Order: sequence, then C-alpha cells, then structure tokens
Amino acid sequence: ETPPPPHHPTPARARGARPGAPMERLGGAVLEPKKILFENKAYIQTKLGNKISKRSILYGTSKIRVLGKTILEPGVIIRGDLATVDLGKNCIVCEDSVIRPPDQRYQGKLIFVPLKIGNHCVIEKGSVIQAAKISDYVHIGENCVIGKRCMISSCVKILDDTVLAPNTVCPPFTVFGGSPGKCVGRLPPSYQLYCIEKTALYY
Amino acid sequence: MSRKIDKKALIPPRVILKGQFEIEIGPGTVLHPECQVNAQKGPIKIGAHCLLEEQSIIVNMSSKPMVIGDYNYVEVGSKLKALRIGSRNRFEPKSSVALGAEIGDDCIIGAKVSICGGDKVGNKTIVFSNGNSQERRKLASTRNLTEIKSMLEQLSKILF
Repeated sequence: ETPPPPHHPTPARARGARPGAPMERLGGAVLEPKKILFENKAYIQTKLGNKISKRSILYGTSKIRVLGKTILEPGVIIRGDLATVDLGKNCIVCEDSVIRPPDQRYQGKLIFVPLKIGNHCVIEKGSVIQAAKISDYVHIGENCVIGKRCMISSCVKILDDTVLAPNTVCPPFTVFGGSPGKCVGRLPPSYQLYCIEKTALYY
Repeated sequence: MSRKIDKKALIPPRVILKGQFEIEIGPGTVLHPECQVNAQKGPIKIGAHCLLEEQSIIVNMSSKPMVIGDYNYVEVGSKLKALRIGSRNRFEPKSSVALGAEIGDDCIIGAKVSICGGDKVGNKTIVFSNGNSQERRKLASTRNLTEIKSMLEQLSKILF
C-alpha cells in the first residue's frame, strides 16, 4: 500500500468537493469520491476521449493538441493562436483557467514559445499558466500565476495562490508555494501513482 | 453610449465593452478576447498602444472620467478601477488597482498585488509581494516601453 502524500488537503475538500482531491486517506479508511455529475450536453466528447466543455474558449484550435481523456471545464481559455499548445493525457483543467504560451526575446525579436503540458496534470480554478513546459503528474492549485517561460518538472505540486516568477525551474518531487514561489516541501516518490489514480478516477 | 475606437486598434469579437458612458480607445491598442471594459458610471479613455490581455477588467465605478495612459501592458486577469493610470505601466497577472488609487508612469505592479484605494504609486516604481507583505522599490529605468512595443509588433502580425 502506498504511503499517503505528506500534504493532505483539508477534510472538506477531501469529500470530493473539488477535483483536486477526490480521494483522501484518513486514519486508514478511504473516503469514497463524490460523483461529480456533469451535463452530457454541455461537453463535447472527442474520439480520443477528451471532454471539452462547450463554454471553454479555444483560440487557434488547429495548433492545440490534446492527447486524450482530458477534461476542459467551462470558461477555460486556451490561446493556440499565439503558439502551439500541447496537453497530455488525463489532464484536468478547471474553470476559468487561462493557458497562454509565453513570449521570449530571440535574436532581437519577440516570439511566442510553444507550451507543453504533460500527462495526468491537474490545473485548478482560475489559474494563469504562462509556463514553457509543464511535465507529467503536476498539480497546480487554484488562482495560481505561473510566470512566463517557467519549466515545471514531473511530480510537482504547486499550492493554491502561488505566484511563480518568470523563468522559474521547479525540480521534480517538490512542493512550491508562496509569492514569489519557493520550494516549501518535498513529495514522496509515490506521488506519481497518486496522480495517475486521481486523474483516472476523476475522469 | 458611444464608443470611439480608433481605426488602428485591434479588437476581436469576444471583447466586452459595456456601460452607458463613453469608451475611447486609442490607436494601436490591442484588446485580447474575454477582456472587459465597463464604463458603468463614468467614461473611460484608454490611450494608444495599450495591451489588454484575457480576463482583464477595466471598470469605472465613479462618475468622473477614467484615463489610462499609453503603452500600458495589462496582463491576464488584472482589474483596474483607478481613475488615473499613467503610461508605460505593466500590470502583471491577477493584479488589481482599486478605485481611488493613482498610478504614475513606468511602473510595474507585480502578480496578484492589490493596490488599495487612496494609494498613490509614483513613477518608475515596482510594487511586488514578498511573502505576506508588499514592497515597493524605485527603479532607475524600465524596459516597459521596448517590451510592449515588440509585443505589439508581434501580435499585430499573428493575431486575428
């Protein structure tokens, strides 16, 4: 049995109230995740199993690639018109998040850098993502601001209300928090399994 | 309810321009989709070459005219309610400026920073949050102008 991750969400959130924490282990017992019912008609289900809300706002759809079984909730804004955006499998992007490729000065000109998000990522409500690369198994909390050109490695948890300065590099298996975002903790190697379980279950 | 939008401003279909009062937008200004400009109780005047990104909200809740200078870079999710905002400023994501505040020129307001009413941010100041507190520092010079100019140039090529 994998040990529980050191940063537990509070019990209120654990009762399936937010997609970020569908499962919680308290004293050995596993709380059943609450079923989150969604209106079938409000979402478009693609061939690869993506569930994209009809109220999500996608620009430059020809440059947005979503690998499969990803959920895009209403109000999500993805700017594919600036640069290509790649989303991995089993990602969850919650309401009102903005995924926007960052810009970079290159040889005197300004170009928009493609944005890649890995598999099994969770991006909670209201976050602003302007990172260059987010690897697999990353959990980004509510109302975060991920600065431009950030590189977030695998298995990183970013707490709610964090502001990551531009060009921050987050090493794997860390927890980032605060404003400016700094490493505030470590994650066990089992975080990867936890993320896979979490996202697959939510889907 | 008049909207004086200069011919050279770039406004995509999904921008919300609300309010009964006049909204004036200068030349070269780019408004990104999902941006809101709400002249609720008074007119708004946005200068030239400004950049308003997604989810940014500019509201005028007082009856006096709201004037925003030129070359301002308002990033995602910012809320501007102040009556007087200077030029060449940069408002990082999710920052907010309350009614009654005044912002000078060449400032940088950091991400998620809120400036309360009655606060006056002078010229060339950077306001950022450091842990729990807010800090301000005077800058010798800012590159806001060159940054936003190159941004606007690139955007005009690829947008809409």
